[in-house]
Amino acid sequence: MIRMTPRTLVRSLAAAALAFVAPAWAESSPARIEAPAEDVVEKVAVRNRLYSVGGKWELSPFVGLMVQTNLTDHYNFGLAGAYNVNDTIAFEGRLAYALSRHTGLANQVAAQLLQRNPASELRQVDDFANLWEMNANALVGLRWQPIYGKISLMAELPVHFQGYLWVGGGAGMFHRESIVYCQKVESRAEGTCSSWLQEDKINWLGSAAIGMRFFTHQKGAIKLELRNYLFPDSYRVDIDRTQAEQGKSTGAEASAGVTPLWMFDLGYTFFF
Amino acid sequence: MRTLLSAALLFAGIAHASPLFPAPARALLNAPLAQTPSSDEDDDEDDSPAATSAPAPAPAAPAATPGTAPAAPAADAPSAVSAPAPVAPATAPSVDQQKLVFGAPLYNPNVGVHTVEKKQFSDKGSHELVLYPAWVQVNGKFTNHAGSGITYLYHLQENFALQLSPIYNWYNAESGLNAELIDKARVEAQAATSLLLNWGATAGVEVTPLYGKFAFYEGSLAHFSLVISGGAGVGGTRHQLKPASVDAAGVESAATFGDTGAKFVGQVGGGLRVQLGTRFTLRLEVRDLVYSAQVTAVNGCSVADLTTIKAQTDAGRPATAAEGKVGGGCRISEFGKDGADVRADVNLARNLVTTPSSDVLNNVGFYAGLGFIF
Repeated sequence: MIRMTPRTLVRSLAAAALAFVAPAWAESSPARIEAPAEDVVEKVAVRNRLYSVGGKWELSPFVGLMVQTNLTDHYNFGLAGAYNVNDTIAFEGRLAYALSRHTGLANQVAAQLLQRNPASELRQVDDFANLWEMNANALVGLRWQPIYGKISLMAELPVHFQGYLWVGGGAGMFHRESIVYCQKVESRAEGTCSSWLQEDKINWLGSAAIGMRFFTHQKGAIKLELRNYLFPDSYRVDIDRTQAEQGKSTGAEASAGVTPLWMFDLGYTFFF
Repeated sequence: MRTLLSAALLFAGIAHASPLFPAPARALLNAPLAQTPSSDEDDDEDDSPAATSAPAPAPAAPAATPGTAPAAPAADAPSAVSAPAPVAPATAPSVDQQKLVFGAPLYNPNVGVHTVEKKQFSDKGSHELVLYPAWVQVNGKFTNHAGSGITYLYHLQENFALQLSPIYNWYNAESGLNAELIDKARVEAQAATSLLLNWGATAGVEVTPLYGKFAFYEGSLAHFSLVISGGAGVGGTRHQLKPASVDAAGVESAATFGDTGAKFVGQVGGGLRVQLGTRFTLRLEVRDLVYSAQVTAVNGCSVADLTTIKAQTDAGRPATAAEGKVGGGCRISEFGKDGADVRADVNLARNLVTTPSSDVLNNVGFYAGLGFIF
């Protein structure tokens, strides 16, 4: 049995008091909140991702529309497959086919030029740049998606998104129809030609994109991106229109740098 | 012995105050902790997928939900339904995870937290001055523009501001495509479709319907809002008369332009406004300047005036010989500035206005700016 002396009693009471005070002290101590509280709430609210894509495969059908049409127009339909190495890096492959055509401006220029008889004016001309049309195209690339965020729609519905940059390359099949080189005039007065010079080639293709994807649920996201395609351009110069209209070969091939195509891509990503 | 007992009591008290798993939130965080949504459609905005891989504290054991069959944990299914019934944790939470913020274990990834946050930065009543060092036209088919601008905003409300936006386009010229059309096919865009905007000033409003935030590499956080703006104003226009050229001797001659007067300008736009600290903003916007384009006079000279001037130059007399025979607004001296061929410019200007064309032009540009709030 322990004898309680006054000194012992004081020590015991002090210990008991400490024991009861300690919890309250521990819960209210500022030392437990080392970082500014708002900052912590901020960081946690975004850092704890509701949608994590690391280690997941994905499949994305998409359609691409030209942002700006000058002489050609494209509608690109495709499918992209990707593997997310982690939440910020992914490797992606894209297969697509672009339906393409000349714009009204290109057709108008072709008709107006053809209406001019080469015997009297514009006998020797150069063809136009940026007339190659992209058809089938295949790309592989790296997607860097360091941005994860969320917005609040109508102050109620939080929408989570990722922002990314994409860069890669591949190859494409290209087609070109001249708007200068007519091999058989159908109607000079109407400016119609029954056989424009057609060319096809397979060449390299570069691409870069910036985009965002908005998660709809754990298995899907809406994808919006601005994508640039670059491929080598070339056209004929010094075309003798008189000889061309007689079906003879004329002109010389000239390189004209690269053709940029800017497209707005809209797609949906399935994660699995 | 008594000392030991006292120490034991003391440690017991502290241990009671800091349990292995943190106590439920008491303040600010008004929703239950360790909440386990029934599916991922239950979008509590701050749930971590990782929260499901470890057992949650006892108060919200998911296995106890009636009518819910226990789901087998799926490797890729981050929803909370995969959480098993409470068992002893494999590893004890770190010290960080035990920290309480506003009484809530925000550092603990095993805990889902609903947060109700106030907006950190209030715009109401503040002024904002945004400098756009450079903007570039992104839809330049027949024209190319680049310039600088300033926007002043007064935020009447949190999501509504009045704005004034003057711009000056230090580069405005016809595009390479138009030059190619002229060079190769002797055709060019109609005057109204290739009108150049020299300067512009619009007044209007800006609304911010969406507000959000993002993390860069889970480190830096930024708040942003989506801004949508609209306004109306006036802009000064001009049209290229003669393109730049190089003669056979290699001598370059600059392009020449004619003033086509002030036009009504409308403006719509949208973009992101990223908050940088409390005083600065970064803005990335796309704006469409819509202006009516009808070319009926060049340098204030109508078709009749230009015909009169042409008659003088064709006769070998200086263009200024037509002074007094043309309208008061016709500025003959504007033709042939900087050594350009007056006769050629007058002829080109007359061709432009002989068949007046009209169009509504959309000058879409990308604007990057830095704002200062005061």
